[in-house]
Amino acid sequence: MKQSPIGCFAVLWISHSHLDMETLLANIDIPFTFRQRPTPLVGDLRPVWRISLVLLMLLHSRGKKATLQKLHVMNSACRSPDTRRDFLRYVQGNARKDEIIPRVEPSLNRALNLARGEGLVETEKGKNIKLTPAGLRLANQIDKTSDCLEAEKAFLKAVESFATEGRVEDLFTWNISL
Amino acid sequence: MSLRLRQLHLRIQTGEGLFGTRIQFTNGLVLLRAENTMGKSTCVQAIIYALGLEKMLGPSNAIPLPHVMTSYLEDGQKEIQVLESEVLLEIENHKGEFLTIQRTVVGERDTRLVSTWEGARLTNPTASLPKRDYYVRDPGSAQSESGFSRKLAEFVGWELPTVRRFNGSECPLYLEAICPLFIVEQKHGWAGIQANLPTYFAIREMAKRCVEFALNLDAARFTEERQRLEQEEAELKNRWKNLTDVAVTSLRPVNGRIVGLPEQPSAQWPLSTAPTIEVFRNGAWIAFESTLVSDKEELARLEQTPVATDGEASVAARAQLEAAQQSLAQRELIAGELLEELQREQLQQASTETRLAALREDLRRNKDALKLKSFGSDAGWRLIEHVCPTCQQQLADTLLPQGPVENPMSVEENITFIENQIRTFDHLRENAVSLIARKESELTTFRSEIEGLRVQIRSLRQTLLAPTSTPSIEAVRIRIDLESRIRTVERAISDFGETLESFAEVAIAWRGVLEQKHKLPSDGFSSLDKAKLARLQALFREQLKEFGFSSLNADTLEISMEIYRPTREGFDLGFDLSASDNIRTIWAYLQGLLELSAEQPMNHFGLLLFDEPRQQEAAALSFERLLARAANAKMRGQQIIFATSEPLANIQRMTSGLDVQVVSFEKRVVSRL
Repeated sequence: MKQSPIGCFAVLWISHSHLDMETLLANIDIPFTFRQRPTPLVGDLRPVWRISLVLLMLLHSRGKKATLQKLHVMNSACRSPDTRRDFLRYVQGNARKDEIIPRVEPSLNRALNLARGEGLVETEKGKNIKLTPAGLRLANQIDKTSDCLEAEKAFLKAVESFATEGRVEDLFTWNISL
Repeated sequence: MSLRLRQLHLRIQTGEGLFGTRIQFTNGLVLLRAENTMGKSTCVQAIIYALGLEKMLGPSNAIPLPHVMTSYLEDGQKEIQVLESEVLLEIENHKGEFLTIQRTVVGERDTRLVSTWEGARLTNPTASLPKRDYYVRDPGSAQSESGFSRKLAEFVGWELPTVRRFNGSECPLYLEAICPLFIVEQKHGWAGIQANLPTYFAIREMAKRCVEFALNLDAARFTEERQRLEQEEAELKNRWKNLTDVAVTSLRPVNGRIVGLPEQPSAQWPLSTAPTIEVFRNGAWIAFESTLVSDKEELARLEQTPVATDGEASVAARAQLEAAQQSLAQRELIAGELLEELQREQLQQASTETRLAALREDLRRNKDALKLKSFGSDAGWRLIEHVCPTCQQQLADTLLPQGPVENPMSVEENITFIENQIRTFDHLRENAVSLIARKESELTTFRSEIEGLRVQIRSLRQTLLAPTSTPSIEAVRIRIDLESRIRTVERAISDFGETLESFAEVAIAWRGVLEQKHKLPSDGFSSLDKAKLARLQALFREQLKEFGFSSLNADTLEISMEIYRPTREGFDLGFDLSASDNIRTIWAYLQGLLELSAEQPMNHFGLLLFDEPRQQEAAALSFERLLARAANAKMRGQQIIFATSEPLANIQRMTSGLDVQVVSFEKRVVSRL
């Protein structure tokens, strides 16, 4: 998002007055510059945030490990209050699986790469992603810290015993019975 | 406010005679020494059992005593069956009153019953003393008259505070929850401070509540007071809102609205400009007084002239009918437009709400990210410094592909950015709400005017159709209409006057609550509280240094003002401590509380009971220093009891020159009496 120091009114004026840029610039008789401003970013695209979420997802999985597939499903389910509610209904057997459409986000892969780089997770037999001791310690610390990732923690705890690899796998297979 | 142990008797009746032990306790440091497995923990557990505190050791209802008290004891190589057994404990309080407790372990009597004598029955077995039975372990033993827990609290001079549980109900803060601050048993007690906390009571913030009670902090009362005031505040706000609703409803029949009434209770009453009523007439809001005056004038004018007959009225009526029909069409058009506008606004408002919800979620995530950053930087993550942990290159603080977004805002900037947006949207929403309310009220007015016009048209038509000599229906209708309008407006005004008096009541109560709230300290602590916590911290650090604490610099540890426990830079200790340093923190913290209780008014037994304080991990030197410091308890009139398996020679060397009582058992503690 680029903004000129003369502000939005000038931009509005340009759009209303059908002046071409050159005429406009020629008519401004004060010195001006264009400066690039930092871009806002949604919170869940912050590496720390997502890595912490990954740690919590693993902490609340059986054996402190999960497949990449499950992580993507959980990540997608954590997205918003609506997706959390739908997923909870699904694992409790109150929603059909076609109501859940898992979204595979490249950002999760990046977060996992960074987490691995920081030595928080490791891969086990090329299949499961697992917390390292350092990762486990940090995950516990985050889990205990109040007023932080509260909605996500509550969600992960609520689905912990239901969201098994089997149920996740089930989301990707279709049995059509006639 | 204190409790001292004076005598402990274990009595075990077997087929081969009476077994047991008798121990006397003086003030100051008492060392109970015996080899491992010889029964010193039995003594500690028997004390816990006699005090009815076994729930401290776990939720199980099993008797927390070893087989020597419950099934068989060993005499040499032989195993002897236990027929009956009991624990007797003599205790003394701050007033010098004695209480003797008897509790059966094996026998006919119910193990949930505790017998007590109001006096020192063990020291003086022949005295005749009032005896009473109490029960333990059942729910209610802390509250009921005949519950032992309540009796014990009374004996110590405590009033147990009421606390909230996770399910929202309330219960007393049980003695079993408080006592891990005074008694550390060997099995689980040394895992950390208050390791024996009975968490299955499901009391909220139990650890904190217990320390708060033991320290006798005013903060607890302040919190309670604040909660009470906040509840009252909420009630007053609610009453204010209800009154506003009543006032608005009472004005509906006259299409009126209130101007200048604050939405929330105002501490200032009467208001600098009194609230007034406006009425919507002929497309504009006007003060009700002027409409009342004009209505009355109009009525007076009409009453001066006789009611016209239909014949006289017909010419005028025809003209009026035309005017009324025109006016109706016009109003209907306006009402239609108004309805459309209203729906548009409502749609707009719904989308503003959606946007606000999304913004709030994002704000929460950004705030989380800010908090989580501190974890990352504590753990030394490279990516907090915007460097890739693998390739060590520059890394933008985003999970988007590196490149398109080259320069994302910092989390802090982002939070301000979102907060600004939320403010804007909040403002938009508030505007929309008041706009919608106004439009709705205007629409109602138009609708009632339309209704009035229809009635008028009907009566005009009847006037035109009726025989010419009857009084004009339209003329009569106008008068009746006017009279009833004046009546309703007058009634609404008098109702409103009454409601205003109720508003005044709420406003006065509101001011009272605000004043009381203002009197509470802003940080929630009295100066005495702060002095206590500071002193506890000083005692804690001082002891750590004395005991050779080495994992961290003792001066960087703090007693947290939030949880009243040792923390380091806001984090609980535990992860970074060596096993022996963990033990030292428990010594220092619990003994710190004990020492502090001699200086300040606190709820402390004035007693510490440690089972095997020298865990394998702690060095001999540290233990020696602990003994030296604990020996000072005698000068403060307090009691510290350590059960230990340290060899007697070591103990004699460590305590030479100290004023301590050593009770040493060469063989088994439980022996033939």
